[in-house]
Amino acid sequence: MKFIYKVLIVLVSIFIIDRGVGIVGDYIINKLNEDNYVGDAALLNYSLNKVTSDIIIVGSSTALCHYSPQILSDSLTTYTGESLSAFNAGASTQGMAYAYALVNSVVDRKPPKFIVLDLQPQFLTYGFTKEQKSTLRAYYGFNNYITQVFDTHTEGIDKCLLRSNLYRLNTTFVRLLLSFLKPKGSDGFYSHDGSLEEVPSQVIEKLPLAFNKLSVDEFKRIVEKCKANNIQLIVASSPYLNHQYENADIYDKVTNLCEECGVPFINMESDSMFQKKELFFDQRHLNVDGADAFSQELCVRLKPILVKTNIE
Amino acid sequence: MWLLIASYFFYGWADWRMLPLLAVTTLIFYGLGIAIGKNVETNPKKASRYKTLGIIIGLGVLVYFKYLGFMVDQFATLFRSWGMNVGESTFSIVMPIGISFFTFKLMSYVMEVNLGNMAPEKDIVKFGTYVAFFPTILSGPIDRPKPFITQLGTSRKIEADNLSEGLKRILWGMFLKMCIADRIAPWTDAVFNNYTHHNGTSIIIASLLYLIQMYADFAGYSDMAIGVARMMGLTVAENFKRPFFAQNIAEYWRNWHITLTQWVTDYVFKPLTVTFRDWGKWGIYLATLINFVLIGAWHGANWTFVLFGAYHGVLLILVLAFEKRRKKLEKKHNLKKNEVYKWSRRILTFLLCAIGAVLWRSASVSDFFGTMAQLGSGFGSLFMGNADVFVSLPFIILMFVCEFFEEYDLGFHILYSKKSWANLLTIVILSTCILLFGELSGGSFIYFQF
Repeated sequence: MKFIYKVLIVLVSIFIIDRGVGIVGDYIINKLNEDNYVGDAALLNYSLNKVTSDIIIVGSSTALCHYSPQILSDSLTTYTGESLSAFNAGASTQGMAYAYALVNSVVDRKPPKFIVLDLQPQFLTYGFTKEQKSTLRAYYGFNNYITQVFDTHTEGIDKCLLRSNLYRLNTTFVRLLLSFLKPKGSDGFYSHDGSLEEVPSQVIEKLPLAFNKLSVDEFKRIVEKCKANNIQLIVASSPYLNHQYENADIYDKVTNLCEECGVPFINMESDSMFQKKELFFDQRHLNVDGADAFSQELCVRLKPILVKTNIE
Repeated sequence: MWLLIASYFFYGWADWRMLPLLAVTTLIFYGLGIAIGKNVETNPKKASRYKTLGIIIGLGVLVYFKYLGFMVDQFATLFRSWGMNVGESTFSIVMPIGISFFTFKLMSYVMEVNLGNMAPEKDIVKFGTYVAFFPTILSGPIDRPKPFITQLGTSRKIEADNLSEGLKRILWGMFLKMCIADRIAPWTDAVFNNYTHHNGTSIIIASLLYLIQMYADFAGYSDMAIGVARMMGLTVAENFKRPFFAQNIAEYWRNWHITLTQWVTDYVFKPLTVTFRDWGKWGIYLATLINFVLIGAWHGANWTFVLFGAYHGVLLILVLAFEKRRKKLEKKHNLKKNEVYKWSRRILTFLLCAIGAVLWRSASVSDFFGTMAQLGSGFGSLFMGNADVFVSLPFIILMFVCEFFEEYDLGFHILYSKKSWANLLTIVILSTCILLFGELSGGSFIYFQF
């Protein structure tokens, strides 16, 4: 009896701490939303829960490092004649589930004019990975769309654990706290200095043959949401140095999916214009010069698309 | 019986292909134990031959699965350097996990029976449980047969005290592993895997942190194993005893991976000192060096491990060589109770062990020298990637504070308090830390590879 009593004390104590941590965690998230602090966790937080720019860039680390909001903002302002603000909401390691939650959150707050989705084929071949979940689960119950993607992609013990604030805020709690130490104000863009000294050997990547049904579904719902809110969605694949996929038709599949959904797709992954080591920080990421060159070229290629869709 | 089934299930779950090896070696050593027991008094020579056969089989299994691939590679390289045409080695053997641990247990058993320290175990279930006991088979501690098998013979009940003590040990182990080792690992990996890109500051901090990571990882696993056993009413040997408070390398090794050090000391070092007894202190030095090279090589088939052992062996020889002079000095200047002196020695020991840890961590000997050479590249700002490493800092401090209290017997023992409120508080705090700050999707244990 005494032992059961002790076990109960432990469980009740942990439950109380769990609730307390939840309250403190949500307070920190709200506090960080008051301004866009720099740092991965804070920017992710800001992107999901606060940002209201006219041009939103979404994707993984390649979105974060390759798309200059300043260049996109300047070019699209020139094309449209309207003054457009831009924010880069790319988040390292993330994929389609994050893009889905982010686009829906942003559109519900204030529909932007343009959304640029940096899409790697992995976004469609894989679901919501463990690594992606670990960064986003802090917002479970806090952001409706994050809650929705977790409910869609998670089952079993993981779903039960999400009820615990300690589990939900694991690791992120400290990252959020550390964000207060960093300066405020950022357009989300993060570019690398330095370049490769030599061209790395070719990477041949193997992806699952079939697309992940849930991810494709999320992509289609992003498209629907954008159409319903009169947002120009642009899908692009940014440069990757000396890389190819073993399943060579993967980009045909992506192109077909975009065509089917009526969305423009600009594929520059293997574009010879960017296959230069001087433009890369590492094999996967452009450096600051590469990002500028890529953003400018993207705007050039965007122009005819915008003319066609009568946005200019 | 259920313990044996659970142990085999656990081992099979980790790698089912190696279950037959575990079962067959267990049966062979069970038979050898009986044979030695029958002859140990009537025909000691015959018993000794059985023991030798056991050691040959144990070492044979270990060499075949763990070292043969490495040896073939080394010979091929050697022949190639002599201009002989040897093709690329395609020799590859899957190494059973925990092989270094269970073969050492098996060899320990035949040696103990032959020495007359214990009677051979007639109950195959008990013997099999000793060899395959699931909390310890993958990563130790390497229990001695007599104390463990004796416990299996007594009736055990699930007791509240055992459950709570065991739970505390498990949580402490998880805390060390998930809040310290797994938080440090991505940062040290980032530095050591790309050492050419890092400056002296990052290399030094990574070396110090890697030693702490090794400790938190391995001691964490040992604590969990001890805790699980405790919950079942079994006592498993301790494997670590505050090694970072050691004042010299000898003391460090008495408190680091204790069961391995004791195993090698009892079965290798002591017989070697007898063999080399005519050589005086040089005999002891040689035995020490061989002892440590073996400890190093036990960790794996790589020259870095051999050098790691030799490095520690040389350090220990230096300790032995200067022991008399040191004691004289301590007496003359009354240094023995001087805290500054004690802490200087502790810090020096820690730094020397951190260098050893880099050797241990390096993929090759040239990588080790490359890493060390980076110290000459200047001391700029610290590498700030994988910033989650900083989460571990308060926990490292907490770990040292807890050990400090134990070392100086200051009355607060986080794991051994008899006060009920202290136990509950420990469980609640550790659980909270693990859930909120622990790396929940962390990697495997470092010592699983052995």
